[in-house]
Amino acid sequence: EEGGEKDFPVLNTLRRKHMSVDVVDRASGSAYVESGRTKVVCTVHGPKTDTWSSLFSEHGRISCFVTISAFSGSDGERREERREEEERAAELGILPALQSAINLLKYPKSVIEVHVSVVEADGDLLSPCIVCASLALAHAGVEMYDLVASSSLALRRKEGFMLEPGAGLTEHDGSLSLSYMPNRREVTQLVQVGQWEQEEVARAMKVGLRACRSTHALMRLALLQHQEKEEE
Amino acid sequence: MDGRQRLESRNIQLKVGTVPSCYGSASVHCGGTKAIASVQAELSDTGAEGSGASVEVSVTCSNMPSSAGRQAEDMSAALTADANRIFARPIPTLIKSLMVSDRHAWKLFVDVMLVEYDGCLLDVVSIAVWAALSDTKLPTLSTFTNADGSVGVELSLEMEEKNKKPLDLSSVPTYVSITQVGKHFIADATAIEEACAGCRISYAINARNEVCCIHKSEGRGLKPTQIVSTMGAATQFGSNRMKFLDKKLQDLIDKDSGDDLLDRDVL
Repeated sequence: EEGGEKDFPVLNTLRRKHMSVDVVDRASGSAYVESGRTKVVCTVHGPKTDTWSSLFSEHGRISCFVTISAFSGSDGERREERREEEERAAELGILPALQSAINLLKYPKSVIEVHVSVVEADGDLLSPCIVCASLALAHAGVEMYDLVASSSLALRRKEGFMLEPGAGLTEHDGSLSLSYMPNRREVTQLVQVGQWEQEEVARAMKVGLRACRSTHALMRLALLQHQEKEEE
Repeated sequence: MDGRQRLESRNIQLKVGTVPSCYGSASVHCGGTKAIASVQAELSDTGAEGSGASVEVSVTCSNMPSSAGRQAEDMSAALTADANRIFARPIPTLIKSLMVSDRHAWKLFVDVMLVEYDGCLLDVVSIAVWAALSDTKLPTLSTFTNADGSVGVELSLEMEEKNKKPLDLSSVPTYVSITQVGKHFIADATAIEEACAGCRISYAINARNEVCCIHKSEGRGLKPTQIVSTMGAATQFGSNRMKFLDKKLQDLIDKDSGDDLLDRDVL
């Protein structure tokens, strides 16, 4: 294990994160996550009656909506053109990561709406969105098997792994992002791109899982702090 | 369920050159899943950024019952995104085959149409893309320098088959989807097996046994150890399948050179 770590060192530490819940009054649950310069707000509405689907369904449904603000680009320019594509792609990425964490059998004929707003984006969007959505769902009291923590990393073969790279990282040999439930020890989502050996994938996963575990601890802390405030 | 071992592949049938009007095409039958892929090419000027050479895949699901209207669209979108992920990062050996000169490169557009569905759609789509690219023969271009110093290209007058170079696909991967049914993992699942699946994870493996892309999305969670072991199984399966496909392709090429034009049928 020691030898392995030396081959691919981790070049940086996780970004400073700030997490809080109960940021929006009108929603069933809400959360705000800051990860370095990325800022994401998420609100959860529901569970409520599902009017979209006419068939009876014995398990609930989650629907996810993502809005990326026009001023969210890290280069300061107003983004107009590719936002819709990115928003749809983000929705497709966030939904499956959360689905296996929620006990949907408890909410028949219902839908839980998750609205994610990206205020500022610096690098990978999916991970902070998934973390924020997880917190908001927990705050809303939706029954979950565990909080879903998520992180991403990139590989530079000559140097090592970069955790949560920012938008400024141009050259790299591939990236991996994963969403993990530490208490259940289950990976809910894994996306990897790049021509890697199996060993590199295994090592990247180890690094990613460690990052997820520390993010998970921060998430629990945020919820506990909110709980304490409520009780006062 | 159909008598195969857990990691045994179904019979794959391959045909290339099924759409003669395109630069390259192929049709793949794997068990009950059938797909046709065709390649169109465009010459592009390299911009200031990057090489301009690229491959873009687009998947359409046809022949689905009308009640599943929106489902077909969603499925097409998801398969397109997954298939494109292979080419999201430049594959150096392939890019080199696509470069014509410093300023010009080919852009390839691969259109895949799924006609029948019996599990492992992503695998079959990626095999169809690979096969169509193998069949792609791009016309040779020669470059010349204009009076003002700019570089132009013109079509070479030698259009004979043997002068066209095939693309270098040694690093282009195909997907292997491992499906979890109950407590076990199987490769190359049929539609019925997928319907009972807990989850599915897909690995894109190339001929050099490199893992080019992993995608695990819907379904139950997987433990990290399971991910590592399925990765090993997928790499083994993928490399065997690649060898089998290479051999099939070689057989087809040898048969073609025997002037057997009448043997080409579309499906």
